[in-house]
Amino acid sequence: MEDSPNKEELRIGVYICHCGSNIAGVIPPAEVAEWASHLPGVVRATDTLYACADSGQSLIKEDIKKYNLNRVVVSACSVRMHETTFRGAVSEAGLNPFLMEMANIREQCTWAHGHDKEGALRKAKELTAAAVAKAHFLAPLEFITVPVTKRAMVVGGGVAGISAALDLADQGIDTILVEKEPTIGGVMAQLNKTFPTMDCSI
Amino acid sequence: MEAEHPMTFADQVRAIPGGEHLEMCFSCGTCVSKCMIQQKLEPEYNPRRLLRMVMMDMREEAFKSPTTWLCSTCDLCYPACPQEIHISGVIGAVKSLAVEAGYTSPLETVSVDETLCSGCGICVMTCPYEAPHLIEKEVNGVMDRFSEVDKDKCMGCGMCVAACPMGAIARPGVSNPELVNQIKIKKHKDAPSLVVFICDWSLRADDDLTILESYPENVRVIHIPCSGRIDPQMALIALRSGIDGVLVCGCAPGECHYQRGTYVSACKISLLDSMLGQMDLADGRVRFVQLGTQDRGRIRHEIDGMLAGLQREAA
Amino acid sequence: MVDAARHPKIDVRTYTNVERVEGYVGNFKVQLREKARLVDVDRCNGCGECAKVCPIEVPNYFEMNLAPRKAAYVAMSQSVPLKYTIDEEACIHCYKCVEACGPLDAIDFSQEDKVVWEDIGSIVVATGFNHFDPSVIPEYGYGRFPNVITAMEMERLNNSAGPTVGNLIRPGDGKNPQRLAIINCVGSRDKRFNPWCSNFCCMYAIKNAVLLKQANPEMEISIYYIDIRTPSKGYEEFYERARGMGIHFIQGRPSLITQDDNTGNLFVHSEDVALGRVIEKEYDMVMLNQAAVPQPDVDTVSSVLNISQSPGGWFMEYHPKLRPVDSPTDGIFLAGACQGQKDIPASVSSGLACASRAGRILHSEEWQIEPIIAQVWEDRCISAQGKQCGLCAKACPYGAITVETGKAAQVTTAKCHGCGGCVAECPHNAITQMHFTDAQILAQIRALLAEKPEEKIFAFRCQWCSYGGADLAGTSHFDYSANERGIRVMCSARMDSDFIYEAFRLGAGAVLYSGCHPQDCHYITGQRVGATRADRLMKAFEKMGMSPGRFRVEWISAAEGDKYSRVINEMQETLNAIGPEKLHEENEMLRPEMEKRARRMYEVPLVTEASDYSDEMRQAMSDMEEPHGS
Repeated sequence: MEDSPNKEELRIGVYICHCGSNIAGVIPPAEVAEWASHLPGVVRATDTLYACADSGQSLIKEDIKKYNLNRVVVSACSVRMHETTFRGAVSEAGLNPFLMEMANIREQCTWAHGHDKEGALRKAKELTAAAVAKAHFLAPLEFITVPVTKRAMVVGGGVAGISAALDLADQGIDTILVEKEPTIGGVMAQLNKTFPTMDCSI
Repeated sequence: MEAEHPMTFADQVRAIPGGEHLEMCFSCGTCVSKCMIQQKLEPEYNPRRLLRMVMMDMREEAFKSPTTWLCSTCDLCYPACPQEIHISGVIGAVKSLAVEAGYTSPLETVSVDETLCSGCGICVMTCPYEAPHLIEKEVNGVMDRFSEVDKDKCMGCGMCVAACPMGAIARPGVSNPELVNQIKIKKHKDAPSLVVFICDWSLRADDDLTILESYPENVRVIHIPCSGRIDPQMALIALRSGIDGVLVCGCAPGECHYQRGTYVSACKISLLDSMLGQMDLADGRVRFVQLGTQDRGRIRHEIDGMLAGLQREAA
Repeated sequence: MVDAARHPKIDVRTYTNVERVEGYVGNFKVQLREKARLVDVDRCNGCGECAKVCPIEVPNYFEMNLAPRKAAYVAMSQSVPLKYTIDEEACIHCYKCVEACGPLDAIDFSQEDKVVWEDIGSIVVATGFNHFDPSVIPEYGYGRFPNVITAMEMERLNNSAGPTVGNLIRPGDGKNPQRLAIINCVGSRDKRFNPWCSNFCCMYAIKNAVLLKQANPEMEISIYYIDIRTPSKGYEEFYERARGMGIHFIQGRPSLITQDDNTGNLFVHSEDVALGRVIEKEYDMVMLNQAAVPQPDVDTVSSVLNISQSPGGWFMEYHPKLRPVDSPTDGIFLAGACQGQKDIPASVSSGLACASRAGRILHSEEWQIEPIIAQVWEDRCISAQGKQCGLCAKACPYGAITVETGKAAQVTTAKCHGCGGCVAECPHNAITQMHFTDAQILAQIRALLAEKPEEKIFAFRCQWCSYGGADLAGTSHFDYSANERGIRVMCSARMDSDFIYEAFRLGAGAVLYSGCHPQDCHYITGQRVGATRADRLMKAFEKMGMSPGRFRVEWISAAEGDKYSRVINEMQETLNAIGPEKLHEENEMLRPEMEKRARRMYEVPLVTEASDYSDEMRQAMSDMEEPHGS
């Protein structure tokens, strides 16, 4: 467990994404990168046009090898957008995926503070610093593997539910189609013909 | 901050309380058809277009538009607007800018005869628009109080005309003598005679006007701008002249074109009806009915019902 | 429909409700209640003899209550399965049906609801939508004027399988209407009811108009609309075709319908926007094209399946563009109109997409889940020292923790969903959450408050709702104060009191504590744990003399970007109103108490290191500040 303090020397790489003009239109990513390069533990900091693009991911992967990075910080968009992407990238380069941390400087910074560029810049730097700080204390983790019951349930027997059930069943998956009414069909069964082709609904 | 832009017309309107949310209009036209002004009074009346004029910076056109001046803030449109725009608020904001810019109301408004005015202030209390106010001025070396009417605020409903105990206020077309003149009926032996004071706004459909025209001479229909214009005295004058019944028609509660005319008149006429009843003078000879926007055709039932009642009474 | 019933891999369970869902991706346990049909479906051959003799008639929901059905019924002749049901509420127990069924002996009045549990790997939710009830719009007179009907009533009246065998008649007098008005956006695009565009109604109006016009070219049909929306393939062409057929399109939303009591005819009042004139037109019949609205039982379904809702009550997807059919819960997918108003092609597409997404899991032998679970430091747990505690178990929404005095608390890995509530609730700092350890979070707090802390609005946001809300504020460009500094934890339950004390100890101007609305919580009851703690903190800060508004608790869903932005801006105003001097004074006054309260956190492994590191970082940051001199 991560009870024992991190004894290994931390080598953090920081990547500041431009996201085209989405971020770079409000703040200068290069300045954030330069600033981040002075943070303790950071051995590599640079800006990149699109961190999520192939070129951005390759840069990170190459840097992990070149600079012997053991932590990666990506200042870009929301974790809801690309956490999986960057976890994948670092693990392809041999780093545990949980040693990557993101700072959200797009949705929660440049997009929300277009009216205050100076404030946005300060915030982007500090969000990056916070991600670096968290990265410092990240520990490698392994995904938990669970077994899969090979049965599906579709709740609702309207046109969407029937489509899903048929497709699952055609894939060979045992599927339970649950409907609260005595018949399946839903609203669709009540309709006359349907647009724009005027097919019968049933 | 960037250099300040001069305020657009829309900015100015938005800055006035009531003028907000104007940009939310998606031009569905609900307000236009909910309002009866275009249909009854002025074909050019169109709140939706006024909102567009504001957004397109058409200042002068907006100030000259009849929409700016004719809206009586009945607010029928407001609860119907799917975008919840307080349309009369926006129009009011435009109007206040127009007044500021020196434009004046083209409406037929009331005037006060200072020789008759006692300065009692009842008109001030009656008016829904705060148009009359009391002023003091010297007449023949004596300070006296008079009512003065702000022409830009007056909507011409005539409620103050009905309320003035001195008969000092007049509105062209519906002044006291003009109305009394109209209460003249050729009486038939067999049929009861009836005066119908009908608020111009309470009948939505053209069919209803056709119905009114279909009655013979024993039913006299007098058009008034608002049922609030009718005071008990007017009803009594009619009865005294030998007419059997008086029916006053106003809008349904909440639908009054002048906010509260129908309410004021309903109270007064109903009170008169019950007083006459108590004095055993004329039970059921004076009635007030409130017609809703969806009461298409109801006017016929009301008039026929009243005539039948009077007929029974006579028999 | 029939394909689904015949498919050997599909088990159709009609007249059945989902009552409980437990477990996690790949390993759900679902409780079903198969309602008693009072008919043995294995014996029933669908002959309908029971319905013939049944003396009871009730309105048939399937026919929009325009036609009756018996208490022994099938809702429609093409019912799947074609098995009769006895409506127990309507039934008078005359048992004529039993007699009629005879030797088939399919009717069984002793039948009771059956509760079964099923093991399921992945769930597709396709619970659909409902129709807006237009009787709440008084100006359209639905319910009062018999010849004003809804779109769904039109579907049945103009359907060869419907109660009139496709002969369109007016409910008022049975006459065939010659003039029809169709009114769009009834309850849609209307802030008084539903702000959304219901998506399919424009096309639906056109479809009905075309069908009727084809059957009766003499018919006069007008469609009243605000905008005609035909954005999918083939739709605009269909609209063109309708125009070509002579169907009138009137731009203008009617404000009123009146009825001529003698003829039952209707007058539609609207503006013709193109003309700029008010028009009143007479029709024999008016069809109201109702809005699509969420199902009335959406709250029950969302709490059973643990799916959060967008405003208005549609089920919320994980990401509107990238993962539109995923629910926020791994392994549960959203098909069709339960996620938002959809027409048939879109519903089918999303159903097929769900099958693909679910198949991805179901074709795997095993599935990986994020290891952000709780772990107990056994030597710190007081239960291990023989003391009574169990607060962690109490906080856990999943029963994943077992506490036995004398033994350290045990976390069942497979059951833990990683909300972190137990971690924050443990008074002895004996539990940690992987990837969201105290040291990691403290390091973030300290970095964000290293400089000018009193200017900052520090926001704790849960992953599922408020973090999403903050994302949406950005996506929608709802600007808010750039003094906001936020961190993400999995659930408001994880927002340890110590973090809040620490933020104020460091001098934060204001602190926002935000998570899901109670009904939206991703961890069933996690929000409640967080909310109780927040209440306690609020009272404590009040007592300490903190200015009101500096600590704020707000539940902000992932759909409430506007709210997130508004709250932050209001907090900024609060800070402006208090002013820096008073703030500074107050912080000095509060610091000793905050220090005292936050002190225990330093017992947690690595927290001291995190604190040391923060000092180093702060030094680096202030060194950088100097040459720039800003």
